[in-house]
Amino acid sequence: MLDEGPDPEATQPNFRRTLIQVLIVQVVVLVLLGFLQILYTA
Amino acid sequence: MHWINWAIVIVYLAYVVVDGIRKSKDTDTISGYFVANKSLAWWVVGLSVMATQLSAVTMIGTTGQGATDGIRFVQIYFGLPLAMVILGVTIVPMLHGSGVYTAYEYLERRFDAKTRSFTALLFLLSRGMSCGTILAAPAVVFSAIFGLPLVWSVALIGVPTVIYTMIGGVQAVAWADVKQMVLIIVALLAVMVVLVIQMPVSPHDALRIAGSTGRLQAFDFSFNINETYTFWSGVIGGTFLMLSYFGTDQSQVQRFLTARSVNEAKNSLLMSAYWKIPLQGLVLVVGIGVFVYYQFVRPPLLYNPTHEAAVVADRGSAYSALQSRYADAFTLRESAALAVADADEDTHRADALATFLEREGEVESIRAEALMLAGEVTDEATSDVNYIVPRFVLSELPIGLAGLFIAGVLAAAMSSIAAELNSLATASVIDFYRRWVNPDAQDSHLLRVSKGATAFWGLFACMVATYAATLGSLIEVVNRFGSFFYGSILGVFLLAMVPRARGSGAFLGLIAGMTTVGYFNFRTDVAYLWQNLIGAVVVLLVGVVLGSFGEKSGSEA
Repeated sequence: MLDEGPDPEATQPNFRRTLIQVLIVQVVVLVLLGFLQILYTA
Repeated sequence: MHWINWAIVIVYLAYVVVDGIRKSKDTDTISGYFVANKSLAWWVVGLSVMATQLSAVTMIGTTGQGATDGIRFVQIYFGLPLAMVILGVTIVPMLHGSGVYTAYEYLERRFDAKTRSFTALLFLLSRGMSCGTILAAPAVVFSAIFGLPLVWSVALIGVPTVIYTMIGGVQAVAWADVKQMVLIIVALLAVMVVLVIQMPVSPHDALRIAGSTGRLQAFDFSFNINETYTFWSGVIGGTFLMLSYFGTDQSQVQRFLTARSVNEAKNSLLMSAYWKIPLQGLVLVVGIGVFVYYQFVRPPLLYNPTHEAAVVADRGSAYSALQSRYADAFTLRESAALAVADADEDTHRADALATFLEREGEVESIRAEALMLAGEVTDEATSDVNYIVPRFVLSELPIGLAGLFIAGVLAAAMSSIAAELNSLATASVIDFYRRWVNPDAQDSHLLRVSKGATAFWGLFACMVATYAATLGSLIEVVNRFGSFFYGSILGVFLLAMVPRARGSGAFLGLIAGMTTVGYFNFRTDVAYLWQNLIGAVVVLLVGVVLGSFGEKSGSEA
């Protein structure tokens, strides 16, 4: 079996960058859902 | 269905099988067959992860849930991004780096053989059952809508899936998942576009009508542990459900074990964190769109055509009377919906909304009477939520697009079933056959056994599908099967990260966790999402307490 293992120096920045993007997208989606609820729910 | 639609479905089925067989060339070792020699790129694994989770239940059950209940179901996924991040720094490096084929194999290295075998057995039981359930969902609907015997519908989905999974192993499954995921998204977007084009009112007015019935209420901040869909159950209980599903369920673990590196495995999970909530939102919005569309185009009184035919045959006059009342109530509701759409802020919008809700209530009460009639006649579960969107697709979508959507439903079903068959076979062979029966078996022998195991689980799933057909809301059933074991198994993996934890503590903790979840499941009204948290915490507590008594590690086993 291949066992490349985690390489913090090589992998962390990429993981962190993707993580920040994920958080931003989730916040945008939740805000959008919140707006829909506030604007249209009677 | 028009022959062009059938042609699209048949071309899709043929392509999946042929492509799956083509992908079987590097699968002459068990490493190739089970984990693709750890050679897949993050985006392939990521799409495979998403396709595995998105089953036909999502395409027909969740869209139907959007039509009847609105968007609040999306809350169940609020914990998913957090779960993916936690997994990325804990279980993913632990499992990917340890060179195991199954998640349960790791538990023997950390604890002991009995913990491994017990968790693997739980996986086989729960996933074997749920595999049948997710096969039943589209099979039952296809059977009713196309007038096919159930066994034919099951075979239509099950046979091609078993063929390409059996021959091509995990590589065929992963690459088929990629294409199937693309097909699913295209099909959903196509339905959305058609809905927007054909909707008799503007998108703003459509949202206003949907919102007036509470269908756009995505957030429920009430803290009620008996309520399934709330913000808190989604964020807390949902996080534990997703941690368990993506981190300890072999059907998902095996996806990220195929990644080229730990980093690619992590990023494949982040793809789900990125897209799952928007995708689930799209699925539910399609359902809501169908609900609004049916305010202006009269839908059938009963969406299940088989039930409708049975009621007409057995209680014709009573059903005609209901039809007549339904037609009148629909006309009144349609004009009330138009009044809501036309009302501006300064006129009597509140009055228009009140009238609309009252008339919507009348239509729903007539539908409830019709469903009760169907229940009396057929002696079956009467919920027809899973039939709403398929009926809409077949009657309202242009020729070609209906075939595309049906192919999308098949793709969703096959991608989930294939991953589950593949993982069921892996756990059967690695955790039982090679561990207990034939530890010195050659790769070629294990490959033959693996293919046999895939065929066995395929047959088992087809048989379960026949019994699951009589169950009500299929999506609830799938989640309930999982919840019963998930939290406790997650607890064992969390315990694996606690240095003082020992094998017997893990095993007894697992028993205690499952017993506790069983109690909450049968004796209380605590919503199933919370049961994941309860199971995990009980295992962790029992395991840590027993471990601190200084028991000797069982990991030598």
